[in-house]
Amino acid sequence: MDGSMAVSEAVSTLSRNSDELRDGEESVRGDAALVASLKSGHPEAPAAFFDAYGRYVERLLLRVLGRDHEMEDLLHDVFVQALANIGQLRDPSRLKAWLARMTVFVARGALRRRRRGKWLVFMPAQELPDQKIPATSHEIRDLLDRVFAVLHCLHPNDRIAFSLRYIEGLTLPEAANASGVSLATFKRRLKRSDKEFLARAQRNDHALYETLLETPRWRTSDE
Amino acid sequence: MNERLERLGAEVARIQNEALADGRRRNAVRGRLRRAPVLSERPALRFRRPALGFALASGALAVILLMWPGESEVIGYRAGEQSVSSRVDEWIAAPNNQTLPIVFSDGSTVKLSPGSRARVRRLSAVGASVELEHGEATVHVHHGSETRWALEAGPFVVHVIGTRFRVQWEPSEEVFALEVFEGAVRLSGPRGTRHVSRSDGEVRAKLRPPVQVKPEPEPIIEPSPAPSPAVRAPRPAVATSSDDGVEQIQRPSSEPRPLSSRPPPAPLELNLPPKIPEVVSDETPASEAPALAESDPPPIQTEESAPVSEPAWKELAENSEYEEVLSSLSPEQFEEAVWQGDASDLVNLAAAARRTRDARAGYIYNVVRSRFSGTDSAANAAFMLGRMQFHAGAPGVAATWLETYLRERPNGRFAREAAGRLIEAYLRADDTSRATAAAQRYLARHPRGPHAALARSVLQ
Repeated sequence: MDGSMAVSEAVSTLSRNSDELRDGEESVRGDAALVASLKSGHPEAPAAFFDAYGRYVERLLLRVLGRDHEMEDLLHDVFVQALANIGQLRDPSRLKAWLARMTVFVARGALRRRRRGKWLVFMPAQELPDQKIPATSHEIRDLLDRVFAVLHCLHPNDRIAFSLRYIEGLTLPEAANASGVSLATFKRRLKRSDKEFLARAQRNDHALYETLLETPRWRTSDE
Repeated sequence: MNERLERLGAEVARIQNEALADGRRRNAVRGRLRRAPVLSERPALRFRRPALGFALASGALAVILLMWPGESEVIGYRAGEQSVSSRVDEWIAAPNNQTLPIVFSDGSTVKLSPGSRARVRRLSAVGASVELEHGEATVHVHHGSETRWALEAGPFVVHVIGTRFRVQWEPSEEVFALEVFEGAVRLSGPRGTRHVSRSDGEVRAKLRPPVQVKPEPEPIIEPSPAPSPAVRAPRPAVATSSDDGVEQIQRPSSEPRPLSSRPPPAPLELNLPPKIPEVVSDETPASEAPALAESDPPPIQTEESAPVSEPAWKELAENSEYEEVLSSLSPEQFEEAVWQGDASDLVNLAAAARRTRDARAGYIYNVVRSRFSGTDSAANAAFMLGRMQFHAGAPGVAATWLETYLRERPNGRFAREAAGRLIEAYLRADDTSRATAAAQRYLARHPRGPHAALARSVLQ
């Protein structure tokens, strides 16, 4: 099998596996082939790359930013940046972690940009829900709004730490790596975010704070 | 608390995953990636000409600095002879034999008549908000170009710019009175908003609650299917508006179960401790306290009669080990904790019970309402009971509790939540007429609240 055929096969395989993240050795092999195809400039490679990781990146963005009217643009940004910098990825087996870091970088940029822009904005930014959440209960939708309203008050780094650890459920090393900081730094941020989140919930949103005491009820009420 | 945050995060993730099922956004991005060159430049929001960007930013900064109103400090206040304070939500009570002036640093004063009680709810650079719990206050607000002052009394709010007026509020009779001596104020109440000036003389209003709910005697959940007379009517009812002052809401005849005037025992709390000791609240005249059954535990021990050694629950409570209180104490010790602890202890204890899904949570909240009637804790307990009943599948009972909370604390910290839940509760109870009324009230007060969409859908 020559090089171009191997790339085509990898792309074909990845395309079939769209929206599914592969695990273990197969994933590593697939990632290696995918990175090779991306570096070689295969015309189908970007689409295959997106099919393989689009959902994952969107999920990470959603975890960090919540419902966001710029979500589509940010998702696009992540892949444009990744494609532009794929040449710097030396170890293809770390593609997913590398992409996670890229995603967090883009999300942090969006958060910081908005934070910087706050002082020039005399009216609250228009936060249009870009996609309706098909949850059945108003209470459920309310929970999302409340959680992200509190997260919105946190420093971007702390907010990211909170989202990666608690919402996405990454392990501490994974979350630290995705944030591009040492484990110790991430732990500090997480601790700060815990404290700040609870303090703000207690101060500004007692209902959310009370909800923290009985989170499972949200689930039971919906089921 | 980490575990709870993880649970919350997992719940958020679960809800978000539903949104991820919609692949339209990914399809759109996929299309963009296919159309655009692979290594296209990111559409970054950068100034192509840094000098121009810097100049614009500098200009904007200069404008902002010129328009900046200057350093503004939150005003402080002094109650009687106390030192200047900026603390909020601390009750200030006037002695029974003299007035108590609260002097604010902006020159405004609130004079509490003897026996009255109030607290400062908010302080800002241009004013304050004071809540009169009961009694009478004579207010003089110093006029300024930006002055924003408010005085809350029950469901009424007097918005002031600069004036002198007197407010009286008797929550037990739900009677409100306002007399303006100078200028004019804007008075908001359950029936809307109006301007009141000196020429109006004294304005009096008697509250008409939206549903017939008599707050006293507080509902106590029976410990067993056969209710003990000792748990009923632990103290006489606080005087409420008479029947002619209470607005009746008719339920559709087809409704299977009418809402009672007070919530029935909660189904959640059936496995309660076997006995509920009788308690006489502070407000109860001794002569009217019902006699205790012989088998009942002794009433609350007064400070003088308290044992020297602190009870086990107290030590645990002081260490905030409320879950331990629930799990390690005997039923008798638990009862002791519930009937001797202060409001804060009980609220924390109930929260711990909810955390551990202990069915005694509702019982504890009922005790809070019984023992600390008229306080924020009691009102909040009503809200919590409403929530618990809502989740327990008893929307009718939940609605009654939520109405109780809203009546007792129309501007309370759970008011928006309670108002929204009330709509849901009535909807689940198939009570369309009350759901509509609740939706109207919600939109009037919280037009942009989280339940606004639901409220509008109900009205449509």
